[in-house]
Amino acid sequence: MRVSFTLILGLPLLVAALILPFVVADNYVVHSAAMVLYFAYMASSWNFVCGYVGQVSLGHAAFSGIAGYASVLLFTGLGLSPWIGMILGGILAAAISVPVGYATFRLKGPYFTLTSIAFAEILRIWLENTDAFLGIPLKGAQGLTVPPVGGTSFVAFQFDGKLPYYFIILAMLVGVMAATRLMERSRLGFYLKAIRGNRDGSEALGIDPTRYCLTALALSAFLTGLGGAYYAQLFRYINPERNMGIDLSIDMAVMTIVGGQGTILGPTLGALVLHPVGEVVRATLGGHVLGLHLILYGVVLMLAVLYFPKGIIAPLQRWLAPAPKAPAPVVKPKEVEGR
Amino acid sequence: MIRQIVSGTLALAVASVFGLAPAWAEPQDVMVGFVLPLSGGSATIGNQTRLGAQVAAEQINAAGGIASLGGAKLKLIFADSQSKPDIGASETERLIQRENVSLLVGAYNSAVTFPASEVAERYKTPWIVTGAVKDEITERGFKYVFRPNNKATYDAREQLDAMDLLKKETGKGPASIGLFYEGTDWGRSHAANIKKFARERGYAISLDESFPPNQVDFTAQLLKIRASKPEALIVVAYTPDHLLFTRQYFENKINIPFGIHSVGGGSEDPSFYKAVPQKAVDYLFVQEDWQIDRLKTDTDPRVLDANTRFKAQAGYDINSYGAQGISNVYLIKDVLERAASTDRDKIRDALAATDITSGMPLIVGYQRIKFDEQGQNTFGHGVISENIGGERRTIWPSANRAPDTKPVWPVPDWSAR
Repeated sequence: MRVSFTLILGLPLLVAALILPFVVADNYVVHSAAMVLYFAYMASSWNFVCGYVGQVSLGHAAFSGIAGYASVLLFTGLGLSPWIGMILGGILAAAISVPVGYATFRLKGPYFTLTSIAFAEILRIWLENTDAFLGIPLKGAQGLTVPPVGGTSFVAFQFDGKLPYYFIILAMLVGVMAATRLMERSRLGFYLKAIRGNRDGSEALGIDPTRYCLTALALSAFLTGLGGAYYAQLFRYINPERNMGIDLSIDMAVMTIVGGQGTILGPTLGALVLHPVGEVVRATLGGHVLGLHLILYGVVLMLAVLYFPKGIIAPLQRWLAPAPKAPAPVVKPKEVEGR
Repeated sequence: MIRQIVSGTLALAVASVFGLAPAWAEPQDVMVGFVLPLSGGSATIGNQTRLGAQVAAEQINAAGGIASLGGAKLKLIFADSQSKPDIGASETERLIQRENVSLLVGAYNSAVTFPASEVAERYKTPWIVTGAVKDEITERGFKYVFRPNNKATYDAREQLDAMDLLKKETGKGPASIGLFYEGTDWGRSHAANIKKFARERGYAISLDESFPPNQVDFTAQLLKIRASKPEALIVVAYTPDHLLFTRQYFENKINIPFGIHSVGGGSEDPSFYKAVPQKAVDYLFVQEDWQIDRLKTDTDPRVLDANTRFKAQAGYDINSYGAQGISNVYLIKDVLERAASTDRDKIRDALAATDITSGMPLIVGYQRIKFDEQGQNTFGHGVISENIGGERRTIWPSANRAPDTKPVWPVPDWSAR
């Protein structure tokens, strides 16, 4: 049932995303749309573990920062293509996520959430205050800049226009959705659902919660890392405050929760609603009612939690794909009776 | 995506409604975009710059607008960067694409200015840097980015220049300098620059102490300062830390013979002086991008009028960020008069040819605005004041010092105050 729903909602969205830059050939729209996709991607990566395991991470920005820094440093220091740097950075983020998860996934309660905040904040503060580490110029709070190579270069991940960046993040988003879908249907996905539903019960059945939660966390950290590296290339600038700060972690979590955690399209819906709220408010009010975007952001979150605790995807699901659900139980007993 | 299109058209519709309203005006308005931190951590500063810019635009428009454009009025459009690099870059994109600004000003935070000005460069739209001091901003070989204000290295150099000047005048000066700074981009880069210049000029560094922002107690650090006996202390802190440090330093009555040298931040915030006793800030040296005693010495009616307008809204006199906003807008007027066009390339060429030696663009305290090939105003400088007899008097550079200002150097011991 979810498959068809995901396709009913997802395919038109994908088609719209594909033709958008050609219908609205406007850099501002394409840039804003790329930012929506970026946040959708980050939220989907967050959802990959937190939406399925049911453990809220508020430190995911750290993985974005780790991979972002790694890709930029590998590019500026060794001349390694950011595409390779992105993957290596993602692997590094995944490797670093394991000890964090290992120490906390074995515990019940809010320990993972608390540790994730502490981990990300310690890393951010350390990075802000470290000019060089083992001879690597981290430049502290100043952040790193990506030197422009001049013009378009695929290898250097630098393009003159906005379009390539737009399609790269769109492909990444489709990729993370496909990965989520695969994971949902794989053994890992069922284990995670079991763990989420009843941790003790699943353990009694022989599922090792720590191990599977860790696997999911590492995958999620890897995906988040790719997003961080993308950000660094898009703006050619990365600093600890924005790319490792708690704001980004909260954005990822809020977008997923508003959209619908534990679903494939939920995080994207969340980003699609929340990011434009800020954008439109800023664009229409300019410098007039300051901070209104933050208020609206909060209002949307409150409304979502009050009326759509399963995310705004839940009512959509009821409207768009109600048919297959209702008749199913009616038909089945009859068939049984007929036999 | 659909929402994006809807939001885009909505924004367009709203923009066109607002844009059509003044259509009766004869000459076309000149659209000037500002990207500033109007909400979030640096909001106070962003709004001071905004108010300064609005005051200057009111004055210019009331005085007949841009003469070479048939009396065109300046229309300022403000965008909120929230101090976030990506939002600043997006807003820059919007101002260029949607609002069709002729040029841009921004963005106080170096972290925002750096990527946002790159967007402007890509669209060949002139960008005037305000407030941001990160050196690299004008070291990228860009053609459309201009910075009238200081680079980070200038700030550090000036503090030592002031010590050197006072040493030359009196024959006395510190042999060792202590550094006490917040562990942020700003604090750390400033400390690194001071160390570099101190080494070149033969000052010993007797203390190198950083602290994470928003401290609740400086007792331990003050003990370190007392123990290391610096002869002058350079302080880098924003308002909350600067307040706490100043109070506790005052309570501890530590003698530092050649005084405390603050590089602005908290010590250029008007609320700072309301929250500490005068005795605690006596003889405090402050480096900032604004000649604090200008309002007392300047007789230009436009400066005084600007201050009246500024004070009516802010509740305090023009400060450095307000002054920078005023200076930016008057610089734009000068540039537009010479460009006689709203074409971005013509404005860029006029900016590059800028050579201003008098008038309102210099309200900040510079003697001249002239950009080098990288767009840096090499004549940009801050002004250093000393708090003498309850007043902040300019002591450096000597060109800005009033004839009746006598610097107190070295500063008296606490027992003699």
